[in-house]
Amino acid sequence: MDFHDIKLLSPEISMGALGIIIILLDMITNRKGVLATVSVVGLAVPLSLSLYLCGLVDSDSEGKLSGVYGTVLIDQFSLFFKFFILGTLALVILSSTDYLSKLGRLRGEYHALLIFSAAGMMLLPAVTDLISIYIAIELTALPLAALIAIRRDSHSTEAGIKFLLLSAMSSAVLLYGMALIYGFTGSTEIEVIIERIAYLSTGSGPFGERVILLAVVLIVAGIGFKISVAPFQMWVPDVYEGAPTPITSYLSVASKAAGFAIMLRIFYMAFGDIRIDWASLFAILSAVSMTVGNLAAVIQTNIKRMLAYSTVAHAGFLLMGLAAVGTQADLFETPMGPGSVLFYLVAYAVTNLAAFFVIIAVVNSTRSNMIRNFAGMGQRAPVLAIILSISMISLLGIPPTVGFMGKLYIFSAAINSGLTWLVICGVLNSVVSAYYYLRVIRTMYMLEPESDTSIQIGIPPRMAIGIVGIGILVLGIIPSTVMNAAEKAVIVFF
Amino acid sequence: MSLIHFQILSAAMFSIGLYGVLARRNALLVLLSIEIMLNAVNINLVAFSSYAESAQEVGQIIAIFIITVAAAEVGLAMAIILRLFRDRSSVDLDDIDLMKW
Amino acid sequence: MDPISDNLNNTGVQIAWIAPALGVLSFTVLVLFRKYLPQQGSFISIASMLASFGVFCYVLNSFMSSGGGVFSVEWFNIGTHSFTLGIIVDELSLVMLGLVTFVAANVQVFSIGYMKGDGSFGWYFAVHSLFAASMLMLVLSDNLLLLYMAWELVGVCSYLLIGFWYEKRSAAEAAKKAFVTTRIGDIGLLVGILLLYKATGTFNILDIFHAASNGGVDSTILTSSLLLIFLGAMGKSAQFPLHVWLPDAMEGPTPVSALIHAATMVVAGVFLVARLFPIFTTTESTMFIISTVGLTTALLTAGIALVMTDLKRVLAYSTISHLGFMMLTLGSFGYTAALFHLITHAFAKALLFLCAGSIAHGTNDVRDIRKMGGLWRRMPITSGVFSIGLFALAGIPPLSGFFSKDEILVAILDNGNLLFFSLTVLAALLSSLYMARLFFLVVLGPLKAENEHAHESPLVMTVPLILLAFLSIFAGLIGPGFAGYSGIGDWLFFDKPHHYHINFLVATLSLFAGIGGFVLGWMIYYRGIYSSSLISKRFSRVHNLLENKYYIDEFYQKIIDTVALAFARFLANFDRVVINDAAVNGTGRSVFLSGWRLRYLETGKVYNYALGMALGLVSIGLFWWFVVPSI
Repeated sequence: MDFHDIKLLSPEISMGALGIIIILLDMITNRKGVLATVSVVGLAVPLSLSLYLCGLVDSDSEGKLSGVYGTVLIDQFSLFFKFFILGTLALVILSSTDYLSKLGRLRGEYHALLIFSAAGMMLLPAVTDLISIYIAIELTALPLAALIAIRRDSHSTEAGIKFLLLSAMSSAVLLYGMALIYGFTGSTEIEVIIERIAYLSTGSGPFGERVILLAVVLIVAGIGFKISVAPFQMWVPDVYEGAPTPITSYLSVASKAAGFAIMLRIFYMAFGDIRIDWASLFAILSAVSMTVGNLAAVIQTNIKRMLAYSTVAHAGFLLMGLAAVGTQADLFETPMGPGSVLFYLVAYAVTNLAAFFVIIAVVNSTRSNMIRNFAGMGQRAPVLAIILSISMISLLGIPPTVGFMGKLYIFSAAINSGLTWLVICGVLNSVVSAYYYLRVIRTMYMLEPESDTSIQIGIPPRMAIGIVGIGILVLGIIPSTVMNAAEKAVIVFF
Repeated sequence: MSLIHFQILSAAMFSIGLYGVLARRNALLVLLSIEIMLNAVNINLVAFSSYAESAQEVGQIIAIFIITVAAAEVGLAMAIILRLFRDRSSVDLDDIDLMKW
Repeated sequence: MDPISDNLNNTGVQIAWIAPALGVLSFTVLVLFRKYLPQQGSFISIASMLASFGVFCYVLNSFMSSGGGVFSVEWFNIGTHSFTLGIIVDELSLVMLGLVTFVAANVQVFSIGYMKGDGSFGWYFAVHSLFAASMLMLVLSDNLLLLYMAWELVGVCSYLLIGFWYEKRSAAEAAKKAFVTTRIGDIGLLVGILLLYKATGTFNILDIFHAASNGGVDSTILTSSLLLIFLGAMGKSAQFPLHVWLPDAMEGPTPVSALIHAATMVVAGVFLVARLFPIFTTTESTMFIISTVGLTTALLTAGIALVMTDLKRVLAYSTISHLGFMMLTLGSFGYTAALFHLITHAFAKALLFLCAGSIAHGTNDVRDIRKMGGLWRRMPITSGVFSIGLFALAGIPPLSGFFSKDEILVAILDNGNLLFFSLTVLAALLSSLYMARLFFLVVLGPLKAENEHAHESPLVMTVPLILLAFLSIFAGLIGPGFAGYSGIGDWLFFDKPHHYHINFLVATLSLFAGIGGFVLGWMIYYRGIYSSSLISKRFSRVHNLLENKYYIDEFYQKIIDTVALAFARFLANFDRVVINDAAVNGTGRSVFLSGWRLRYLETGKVYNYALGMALGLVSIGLFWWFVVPSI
């Protein structure tokens, strides 16, 4: 652990420091409102450190810096996610100020836990060692479980215990898979695993060649829980419903992004040579996720549950990008798959955050998560209603929103890899999803409001909603900046 | 005693743990079952690290990490379960179904 | 169609994008500031539309002097593929540009009168602007991606406008129906475009033509992608069997029907086929399917139009039928004729719908044609121009419809399919007959009690009517050549110029169909020589079939009810019963003894979720083990 290592980990270290500062501040101040300000402003430190690392990576001849005994790898890929997580975190903190003033206590813990969890998520794409991956995953998950239960009422607690137990179980499954990989290859470093898998003769392990398969299945199951892909999606609706809404938005965006980051890292780096084989598995999981998520969402009446199933469906779309690794014939051409996953994550983040932020604002006034309580929002809160409509349209994937661009990118990637059947399945699914997304719009504009009181929101949530609302349209019309960033980030895999 | 015996022990423990997670109704026992699953992994790792020639001691290090993290996990889970108990005077998972489809 | 080169010195090509941009601008202004503007800002929308028309005139002028071209800028890159954002100025896009801006401007002026006093006046105009902008983007775009985006946007605008009076449940339902039905077509379109992209490596229309003409595209992929694209065109242009949404779309305000569901958006499908005509013509089978679908649509819906009693629905079915004519003609290689008919139909149909609006306005919302009659006494101007529109579409010479219908018949005859030709004549006769029905029942006949207090509409509504009527009369003249002008076939053509020629036999038949229909109509609906009720009794089966629109809606409803909802329910239950309830129950005894009984209906249990995950894990493992046998 020398200065170089500290430099590489500096964004995460500063996040940890920020979290501790928040807790200390919470003890000495009575003006709890200042905590959110300190958190958001404090994020400037990890942000500037990440920018500094970005400069280092750019000037490096290989475009990557590795350290901490080879377990941490800072490259464009991990930097992309650092910025992604930081941005999401800042928006979530901004959006939750109104919510927290109603929550009352535990505001310091709320911010600190969010920041700790974000530190884990930032670390996750940057680590290349199975131990570190496990530690980063737990660093992400444990604060989240506490956050889910932070409201301390029966729903919140129930969601917390469900999340924690299932998350622990999935970690155990993941670890078992990792242990098998370690036993088979004798190493936990991804770089070494690549080499050993390539030359180890079959049949040398206790289970023969199948041991890798078993391990990969266990790892897919373990990470599949984090990215809420069917058939590991069953916790999602309950936890989304029970968790405080800002945490739900955070879960649906940041946690999922981190999961996909590690998925890409493991599968492209360690199992890159057996690419074609896992691609077909992901293609099937993708189709199943889309279908299950969309059809189950149709019958939901609670908007958070509906978005929970929708998130399962979108995990399916994202997996489509993971499955798009290129066909055997044109392995020489760079597949568009990973880039499309990264872009879709950004698209989904902007869109879903917009939806959840509006829901936070509305539910703060109406105290109900039911879709029918959104009736007449077109009159009660015109701006919020428009932004929620735009985000629904974006989730549906209709231009000129960023959701369309994301779908387009992913569909092109899939079709270029010869997955035409999956694309057709995806487009069909987006038609099914029209049913429930449009229902929200219809409820807001075409039903009579229950009361005439307008919805009050504070300045910080307003800023957050404005940023993501405009982001949906701007990124939908001028996607090139993010697309280029996404493509630059995934170059490391090829 | 060869590696395969440890493998079998570990697999059996993992399965027992999984069974416990599925069959037990008490949140605490479910938690314990998850610990059994994690310990199955630990046995696996330690066995690998002492048998496989190329694997050095990394496996034991991982095992220590897992034990540490599991402790944190249990701590958090206990806190939430306690909260749950205050809320409904029961830690029976059968009672924890406020939210369903 | 001339080969189009990048004509960057041509200012007309470079500024054509302003036309859609104005619409977007107007939309933005109206959405943000309509509450603070006088008249809720309707004048901004109209001004932007007129300015767009001005842009059209400028572009047309520069096109005359220095020709068309492509103007594009880079949009974004995916990998090594670069995507451009560009517009194409050629004869086809110019025709559509002029048509859309002109009709839209007229309709918006008319709407001032028609929508007066509506609470969401400004919102109406805002969506109108957005619609016009996206429609213009659609017709101008030089690549399929932009075209698809515009395509979806017009769909959204149509959804918003059909559901404009959302207080009416039927309107909200119709909006949803339209959206979902056209989206079925859109699936085809998107997949077709992506397939074409995969085959040619580009979205750019001209590059696709280039690739296809070099034979670089696999013919199976080409055919399947074209068929899928045509599916999209079928949805938007309401071709059988995806036509069911258009009649229901009449729940929207009448000017919306005039603009979107008669003159502009619904011809987008026809436009798309015309735009991709060079590749469509390379596959015979696709062309045959297009013409068959078109003919089926034209015939079947003309029959329905004969028995509908709601004025707007009659017009809607007539629209579908005429769209069928256009598709049929395109499928018969009649590029010029189809587009010619598109133009004349657009003017006449917009006129007819606006007249229907004016009638509704004047008679306090009478929509049933059996309750109308003798309207010429109360609403002379409306009735007059209404009749002009009817005559024009029925193909009575010398109004515009006659020329275009004649051209259609010539094109189909030239294609050499006599069966198609005779059926087309029959469809033309039917279309003339239902127009006659409207004429005799609505305009002539005794004045009904309901219309005693009918009054003529204000000037702001009648002036657009008169303008459109003028064009319905004279637009036909662009077809045949006259003094120094060589006819539409000389500039709007595919492959080689096509000279307008009167085929004596065809002209007679067309005349016969046009006038014959009116004579028949006169006998049935006016003089009652053959009473219509008698006919419907005599052929009660046919009548029932027609009146129920061939039971297609019921059929779809049945399918949706039985299949789709059942499937959704099945999946919901699956989640609930199989995954959650068929799970382990645990009174602590044995997992396997009591676990698989389906009696535990409570769910939301952690252990059930855990079981689901475990089962998922096992099934993935098994799947991989057996289906993907080697690593």
